[in-house]
Amino acid sequence: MVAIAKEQPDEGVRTRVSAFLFRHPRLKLGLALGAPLTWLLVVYIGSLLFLLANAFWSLDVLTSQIVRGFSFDNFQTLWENDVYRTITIRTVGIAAAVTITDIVLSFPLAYYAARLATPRVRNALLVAVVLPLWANYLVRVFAWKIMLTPNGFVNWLAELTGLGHLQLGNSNWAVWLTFVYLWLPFTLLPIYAALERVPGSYLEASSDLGARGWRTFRSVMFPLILPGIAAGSIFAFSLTLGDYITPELVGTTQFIGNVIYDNVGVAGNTPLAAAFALVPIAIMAVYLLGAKRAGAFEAL
Amino acid sequence: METRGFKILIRVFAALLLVFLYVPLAIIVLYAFNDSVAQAWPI
Repeated sequence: MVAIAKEQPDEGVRTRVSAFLFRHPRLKLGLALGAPLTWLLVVYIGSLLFLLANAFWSLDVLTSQIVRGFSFDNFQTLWENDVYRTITIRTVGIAAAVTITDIVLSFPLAYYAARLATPRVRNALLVAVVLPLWANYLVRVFAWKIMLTPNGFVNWLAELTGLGHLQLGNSNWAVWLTFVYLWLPFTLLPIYAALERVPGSYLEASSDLGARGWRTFRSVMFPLILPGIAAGSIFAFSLTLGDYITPELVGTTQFIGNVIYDNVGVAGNTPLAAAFALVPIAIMAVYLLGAKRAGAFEAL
Repeated sequence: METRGFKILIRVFAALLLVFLYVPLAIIVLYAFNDSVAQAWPI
């Protein structure tokens, strides 16, 4: 009886608060979204704005002090210095190559899982694709570093199959291969989801109208799975663009991320690092606009 | 739509992709039990 008597006022307060919030839907929305929106604005957008502001500051070479004044010096350095341009082109080139390779490699398994496999095999395949992500990023990168050494597994396999001795270790090929491996599951899953959503009746109709396999793929299936491909490509492209650990471990050349890391850590030139960090952000903004037009966000 | 040849080909590619995903992890596991510090293959 005592417990019931104690619960009754609580129920009353809860009902009154609930009724009050029901009458004030905007307040309810504000209370629900206030904390996450504050976090997003202060921590995420705020840090990006700070980065943007930092890009316009400069470093005094004599005192190594950051001068908090507005100037375009960092952007001028990035534009005029061939090294930064080469690094940007290299990074974007490898990111594009990784993205295309991942899409091409993903398609057969995604197609098999979505359209040919039994439900049980499909589930097993999807688990098998996701499972390597449970292994630590560094473990997976080091696995390729070991495999690509001159006496490693890849060269052993190449010699066994008559391809001869390959010089893949510590090269852009190694970086490309490692990135392809790392981001493959991220590309495969959206393509699988897009393939699964293609109605079988569309393919049957195409076949009934006399279209062969390639024509059906080109005219019916590809336009329908394009949003999925674009969604998968966002992951592969953006993750490659921002990575600096893999080029450091398996390559010898510098990527945008390496230059930013060196400027923040060793050189202490955070304004130049901030200015260079805006380059991949700008590239991704353009890329995302293109992906949005391809309907990628509906496929995510 | 899918011919028999296409189905076989797609199965083979799917299997090769799984091999590509798991060989590096298997090699790391094998190296974990290797006494030698030399990173040569075969171990």
